[in-house]
Amino acid sequence: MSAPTATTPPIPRSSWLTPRRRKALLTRTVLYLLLAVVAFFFAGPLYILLSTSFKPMSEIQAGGLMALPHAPTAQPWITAWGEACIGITCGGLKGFFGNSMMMAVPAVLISVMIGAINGYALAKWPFPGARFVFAALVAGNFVPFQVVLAPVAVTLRTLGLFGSVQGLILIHVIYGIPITTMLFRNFFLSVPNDLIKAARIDGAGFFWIFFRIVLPLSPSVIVVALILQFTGIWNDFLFAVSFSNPASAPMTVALNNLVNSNFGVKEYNVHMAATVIAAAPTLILYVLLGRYFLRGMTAGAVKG
Amino acid sequence: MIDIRISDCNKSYGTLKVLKNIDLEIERGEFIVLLGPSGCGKSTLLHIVAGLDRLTSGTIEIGGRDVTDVEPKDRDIAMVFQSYALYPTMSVRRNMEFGLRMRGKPLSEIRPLVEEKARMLHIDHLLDRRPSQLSGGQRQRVAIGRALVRDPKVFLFDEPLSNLDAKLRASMRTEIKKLHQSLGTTAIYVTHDQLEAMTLATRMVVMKAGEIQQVGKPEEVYHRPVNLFVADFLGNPGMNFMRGQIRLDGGRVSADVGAAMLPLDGYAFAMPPSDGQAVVVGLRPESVQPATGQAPAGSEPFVLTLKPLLTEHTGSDNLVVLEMGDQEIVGKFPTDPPPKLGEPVTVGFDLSRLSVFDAATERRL
Amino acid sequence: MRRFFQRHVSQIALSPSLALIAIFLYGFIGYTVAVSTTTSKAFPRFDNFVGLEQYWRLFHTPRWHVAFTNMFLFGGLFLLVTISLGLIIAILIDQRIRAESFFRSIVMYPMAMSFVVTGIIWQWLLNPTLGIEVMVHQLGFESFRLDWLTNPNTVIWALVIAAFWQGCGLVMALFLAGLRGIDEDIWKAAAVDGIPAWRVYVFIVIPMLAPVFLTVVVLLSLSIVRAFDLVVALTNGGPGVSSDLPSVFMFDMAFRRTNLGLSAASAVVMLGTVLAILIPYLYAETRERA
Repeated sequence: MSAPTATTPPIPRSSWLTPRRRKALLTRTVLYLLLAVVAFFFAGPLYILLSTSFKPMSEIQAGGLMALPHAPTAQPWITAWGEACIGITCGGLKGFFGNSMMMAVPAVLISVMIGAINGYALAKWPFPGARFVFAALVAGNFVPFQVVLAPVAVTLRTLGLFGSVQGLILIHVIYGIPITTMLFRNFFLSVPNDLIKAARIDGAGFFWIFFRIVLPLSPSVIVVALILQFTGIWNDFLFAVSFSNPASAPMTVALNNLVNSNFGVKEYNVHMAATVIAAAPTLILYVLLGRYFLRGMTAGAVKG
Repeated sequence: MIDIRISDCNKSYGTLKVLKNIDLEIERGEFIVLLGPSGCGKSTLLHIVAGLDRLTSGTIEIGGRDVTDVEPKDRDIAMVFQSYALYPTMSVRRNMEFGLRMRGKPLSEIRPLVEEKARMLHIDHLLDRRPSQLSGGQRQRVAIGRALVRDPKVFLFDEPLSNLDAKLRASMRTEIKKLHQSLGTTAIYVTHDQLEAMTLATRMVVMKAGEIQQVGKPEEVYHRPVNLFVADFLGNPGMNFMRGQIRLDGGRVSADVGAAMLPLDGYAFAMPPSDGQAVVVGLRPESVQPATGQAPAGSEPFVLTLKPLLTEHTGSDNLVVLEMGDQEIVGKFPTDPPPKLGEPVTVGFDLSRLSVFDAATERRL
Repeated sequence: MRRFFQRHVSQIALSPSLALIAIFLYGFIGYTVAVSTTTSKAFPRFDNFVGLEQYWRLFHTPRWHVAFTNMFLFGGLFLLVTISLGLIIAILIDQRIRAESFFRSIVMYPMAMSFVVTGIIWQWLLNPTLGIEVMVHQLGFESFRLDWLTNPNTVIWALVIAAFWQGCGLVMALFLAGLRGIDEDIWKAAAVDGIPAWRVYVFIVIPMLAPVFLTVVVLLSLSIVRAFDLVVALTNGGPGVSSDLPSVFMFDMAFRRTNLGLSAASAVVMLGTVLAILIPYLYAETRERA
């Protein structure tokens, strides 16, 4: 529209590297260098873990921590899964992996179900004292479990569940109540009350509304709760080491026994493979459901 | 004297062009309002003038200096934001001081300046409060105060009043107007509120889809919109549009809108019309009033008898929907006497306020 | 009966959980407190009340001193490192970078790892004959020493780096969410005011993140008091007892040394520490809301 006028001679649009852009470019370069260092620090250990688990022992002793395996072998994985000696038995990790699964799956499902009902009752069917009940339940999140360890051991012995997977399920369900209740209660507060009222006027009851209206609205929080509980229970060591016996031990305990036992030659490649196996289920959950995972971790960070 | 010159400015995000070939020259002391629906690019244009967004091509000059590649801080501008953008962890005083302290000005000079501007904006009693302890209107004053203290060459306002309630908005509008009149600093003001635009602007810029539609004084843009978009966008209630055709009959020009032939002899055509040309004739509701028997001085009397279909009482006026053939038009009638529905009334059209647009190009004829 | 059920269905649904928590949490806390006032050895006995003697003994046990001091030493260093680096990484990631989700995922994936796995990984990396030390030697820096695991004076750093590796993701994510919550106009206002980015962070943005800092400090502090698996897997309290922590001490006394009375006293002290962190926090939170 307006041609350059006499007062403004066309300004030479200098090369793309104006001082402003040069400074910006330098800042960006430094930024990405720093990020690369950060990424190396966090990703490096996993890379070393994986590459070492495919190396024969001779390669490990020769050094070259960061090197890829020259002669990759799956033998460490086979040994870790089915042959490695843990304590006095030499059947690998597979039995303990099974223990962990048989413990985690029911414990997760039951505790999430209980938490959902509790949260629903507290958020949508309040009664005098509901706030106090909520506080009493949620306070359990902050208690260091060391303080209940001895009485739990006594109770499990009395019930004949000490050293059994069922005993661990019971304990994880009970001590999962505070966190799942808190998670669901806080989520259900956001479900409109008018929805509940409308359903009640239509004649629906407590459980009908729960299963037909509230739960279908909450797939995300259910996923978050499942991840949170699964990660917590799968990764638990304190209860596992306190209340299991060599036959019923979950993965964390078996892994620690395998790696930190003082017998024989340390087969690092087997240890690394075993570590990956122990970390795999939660790591896979993280990769598949990262967004929910973060929400779960943030909610669960308070928990013991 | 040109204070800001925006030349051939383009901005795109990937393939999305948000600003297309914008050219605009702003004189020193003007109060320019950028008006348009959301997404029209007005805020982007303001951010580009501020230096907060980079343009894809084109140049920006402020005070005769090319600032296209200059950091915002070196452009000698101050900006007031929609969300006020007060630093929440600092007191009002610190908020107002901060920009100057960053520039290394000694505190002994800043202090009296801040207090003077605070008095001017009636916030001197709030200086030691935190932003969170202030009401919306007070926060807005602080945000303006923070800009004033800097004494910039140009003020930029990014929808500063849109978070306030209607009453406060009106009073702040008046204050901004007063402020501009007393300071005389060049200002660019972005809004989607036409009332703000009409009252504040010395010139307004109407934008749509990244393009400038019309630049002009508010009354000029209001009464002589250059196209259907501008005509439709401005005014509340909106302009009446009547579809029809041009009739050239001897030396006389008129528009056949079905129910009536509107004489256009007094209309200043920008381009000569042709017989049978499809047009849209626009007339604002305030130009459709009950006939008083005598036409306003200098305009032709043009009267029709129309049937009221519906009335809306707005307090100060009666908006009357009138049947006009197969079309409907709205007139702004006095509240007394109320028109009777279905009983035809004599309605006077102020034809000097007509706008005629080509139906195909939607441009003003 | 039916009407009673309908009217109190909410309480009825909650009562099993409430009963379980009442017994297994509050009851058992009481039980442990009671045990801590006895001289119970392998089995809890309540016929030998000694008042606060176990607490007196606890604080005259050298190993407990090491463990308790370590908690503060480890905790202080861990808080300092994780909060400062977590914040810096969050700021780096907040710079409209390319492949943001890639970097975020890399920083956060260790959260999915158990402390046992984390401890084992770092035990391996810090192993002077196999890990990072050898790698640096092979790069040509022969004099490089990384003996954190074998040196009682520096073993605490091994715990800190491993805990940081595992916990930084959460801290980073919390800070990143805080940074993203800051009104963008603040940044624009600062740019117009000519404030350099680092000063905006120091004087405006970081003060605005104060609530996030508080949350992070409390979360990390709770995890510090409870830290157990990491120590067991990484150092097992060694060398000697130099990296002992209260949780390890408690576990040892309860299950290996058959000294339930002393173990209970140490557990109660841990609970007390948590309360000392939590009560001021909850007080501040509720006051803020009121």
